[in-house]
Amino acid sequence: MVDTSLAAPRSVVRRLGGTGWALGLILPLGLGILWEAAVAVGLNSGRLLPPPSAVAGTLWSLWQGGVLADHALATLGRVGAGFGLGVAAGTLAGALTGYSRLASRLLDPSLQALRAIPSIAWVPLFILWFGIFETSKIVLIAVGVFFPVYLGLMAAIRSVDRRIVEVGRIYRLSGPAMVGRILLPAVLPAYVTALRSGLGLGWMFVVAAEFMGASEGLGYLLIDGQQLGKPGQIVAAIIAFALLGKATDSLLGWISAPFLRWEDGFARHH
Amino acid sequence: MLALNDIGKTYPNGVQALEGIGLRVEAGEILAILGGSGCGKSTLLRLIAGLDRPAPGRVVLDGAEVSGPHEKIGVVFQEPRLFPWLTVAGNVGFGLGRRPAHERRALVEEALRRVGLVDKAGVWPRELSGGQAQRVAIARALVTRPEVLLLDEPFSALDALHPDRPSGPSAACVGTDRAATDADRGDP
Repeated sequence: MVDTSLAAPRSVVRRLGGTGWALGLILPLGLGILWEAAVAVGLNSGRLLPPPSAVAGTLWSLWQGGVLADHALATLGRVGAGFGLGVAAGTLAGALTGYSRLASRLLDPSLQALRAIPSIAWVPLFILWFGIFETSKIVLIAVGVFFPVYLGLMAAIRSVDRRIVEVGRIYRLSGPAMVGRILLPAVLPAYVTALRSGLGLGWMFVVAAEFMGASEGLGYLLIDGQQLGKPGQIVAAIIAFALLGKATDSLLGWISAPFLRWEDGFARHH
Repeated sequence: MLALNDIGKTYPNGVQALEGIGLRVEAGEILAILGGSGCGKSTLLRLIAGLDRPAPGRVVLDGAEVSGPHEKIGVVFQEPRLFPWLTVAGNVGFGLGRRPAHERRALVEEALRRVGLVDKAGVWPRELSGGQAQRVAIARALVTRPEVLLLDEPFSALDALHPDRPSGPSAACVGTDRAATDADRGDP
């Protein structure tokens, strides 16, 4: 009996890793070493921009006291909630306007107009509507996530190859089946890219959100460091943002990778 | 029996692709439609497949008008049109609907055996040659046992099945009932 299972072939699973990740460390490590040396030999006092050793010391002390973890978790929770909300709304709106011409004509002009509004402009209104606490912050992050997801999914659905949709028509797929069996798999690579763009904006918006009177979160650490004149804490919070942003983006890439093994793009051959 | 009654097709840009076409294909018959590039062969097959509506005229299958894609009609397009996110087996079994897994596997294996690609069941379409991809498309059309099989520009596919056969003129092909089974076996 020959195996004709629909399972994906294992041979195409590519291993990530190797020396690629190490190459990416050369630039930040090199700059850090240069700055450390400049401060060590007295070229700069390092008062406004502490050397890596001082920042590492601040990070370590924040970590040891559990302060960093508490603030990072608070920020992570807000980004997670805002991302989930923004992705849900963006996916629904993007799928609707991408699939239905009527929905597109009805919704897209208004959404495009809303997209043009600088997100910070929403802050006073959100505070009035949702208060100063968590809801307004999460909604602001969701607004940031919504638009790249909406736009990416709508554009991807509209650009699905008409010829493969015709194959679905030949097999008389219903509307939901057409979406589930052809449109969604076809747009998955573009959708993942849209999710990653949305996540990146979510991390940007969480800073603005935490400037809205937060008492915890990495954004709060930034403000606290500025007000108390602690540049080491500011840089430590920025590094924590960078690490968390990169980690969540990598997680998204790692989760989506098994679903995109079929891709035959330029990157696969390089 | 498949019948086309005085059908025509004019595209929205005003191009009249077909006019006054009438034909009948009885069960077991194979009909080849020959013509130069752009003469309307693919348009005719799209009308028969129910992908487009003729105006004027009607396409009738077994006494009923074909008003859209029909379960008795299978199509092999000019290009394989495989789904890149499904394996070869997934592509072949695409049209089998909600059949039990063991039945799907058996039908897919049988269809792949007919086109000589049973060993390719688990590979992605990107790993196939052009001829192999077209054979997978043929297997996908045959696996549902359509009573009418439409082959658009079939000679590339037949060349894939019989590499030593010389290329023929551009053609579209309509096979009905047993003819479809013969075509799938490569019988002349």
